[in-house]
Amino acid sequence: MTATRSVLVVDDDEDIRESLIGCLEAEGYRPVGAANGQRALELLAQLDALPCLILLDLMMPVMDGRRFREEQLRSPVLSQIPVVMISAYAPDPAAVARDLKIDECLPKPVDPTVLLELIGRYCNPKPAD
Amino acid sequence: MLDLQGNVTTWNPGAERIKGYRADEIVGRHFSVFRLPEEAGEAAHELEIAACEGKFEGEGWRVRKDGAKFWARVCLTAIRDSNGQLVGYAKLTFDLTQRLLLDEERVQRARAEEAVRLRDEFLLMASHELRTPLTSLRLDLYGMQQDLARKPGDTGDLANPSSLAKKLERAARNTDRLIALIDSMLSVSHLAHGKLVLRPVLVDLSQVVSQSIESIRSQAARSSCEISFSSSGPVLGLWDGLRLEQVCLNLLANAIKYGAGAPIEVIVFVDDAGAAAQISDRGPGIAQADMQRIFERFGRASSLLDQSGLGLGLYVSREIVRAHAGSIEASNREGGGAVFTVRLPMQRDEASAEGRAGS
Repeated sequence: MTATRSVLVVDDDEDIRESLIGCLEAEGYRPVGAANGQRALELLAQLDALPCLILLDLMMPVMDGRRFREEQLRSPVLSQIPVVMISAYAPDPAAVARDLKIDECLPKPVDPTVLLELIGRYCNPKPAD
Repeated sequence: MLDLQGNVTTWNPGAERIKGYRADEIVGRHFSVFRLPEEAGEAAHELEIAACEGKFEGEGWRVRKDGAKFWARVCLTAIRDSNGQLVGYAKLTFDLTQRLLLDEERVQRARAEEAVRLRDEFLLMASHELRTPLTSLRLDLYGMQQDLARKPGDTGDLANPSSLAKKLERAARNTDRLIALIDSMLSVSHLAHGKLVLRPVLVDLSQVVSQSIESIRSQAARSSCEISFSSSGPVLGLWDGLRLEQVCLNLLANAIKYGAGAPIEVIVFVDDAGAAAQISDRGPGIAQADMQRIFERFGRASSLLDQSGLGLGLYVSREIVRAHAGSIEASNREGGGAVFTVRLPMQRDEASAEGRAGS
């Protein structure tokens, strides 16, 4: 598992992106924001180190979360980065997540404590006993 | 059977069953007695058609002896003797009421199912839209709570007023977004129940538009949209200023959403047709097939479904403009982008008021 503290936040809503980034920064993470899947792929190509986690919205213009995930899974390197889907729109978000091979799915409005606990699991792995 | 004038000459048990008359009650009477009183004159016309064309066929309401209506298919055939001389008419009547009721029931059921489908779609969309500002609000409130909980001496946003100010500003903005969404939902509910009430007073359309632009300018700036505005001066009319502002804000929010990163042009003018406000963006424009649909309730253009929004803004705008006896039109801008034009009628005394205001 990647152990950097960098988290990629992909959401087209600027306020949600900024609020998530603020929340993560306060916890000592290094978040980076992208407004759509296309921008996220561009950022991933530029970053020196891969993020430990991607927080992914589904409904976005230009490239939505589904297409981003498909592109991500095509790359042997990028597909290693775990994804948490954060979405408000889906009759059955868990089914969408399963379909996209995403393990974790949080409904909006996300509970910050649940979110941070989840991020901690991926980004601050406890050393094995 | 009917004679040449349309009087009943023979009567059979089938006719008695459908219409309720016994032979001795109806033979000799004119067949217009089976029509609704207001349509009795049509009977002669049917005979004429049958005489000219050999046959008349039609469907419509007919009346039984007891006054009850039934939906009938009627077939009138001209009867001629061996010399081709018209001697009367054979009349067949079929009671289709049951079929009509079933058809109506089917239509009603389909309408109800469509209404439920639209409502479910709307609820899904509404829940998505409400959850978006709530997400940001919840995260910022949590952030501020965490800041307060930090021990003195810890570094946190309380020690960083600009970061705290940003959170508060975002929280206020998202509260406004929630209010606007709820207002928009209520507007739709009012429109659906015909409760849109206008409060017309003497209003300057240029001022309404310019104020709307000012109130949305920071949102436009965040989407890198420069809004330019020009007007031919005060454009006065008896309109509901607050409702017109709602229309302007809807159209401007649309232009910002779809035309992000490019300039938006707004003009207010008067021509022979009355007053007009026009908003042009440089977004993807509107597919011809979607031109009408975008104004329907929940009728967002199919090509734009990956964009957020309730799909209500244009519907609400159209209803408000229509209530002013005006119109709203969408078209595509030469060189790309959409143009929305709102037209409002001006009465003569309003036009002269405009002249006074302009002088």
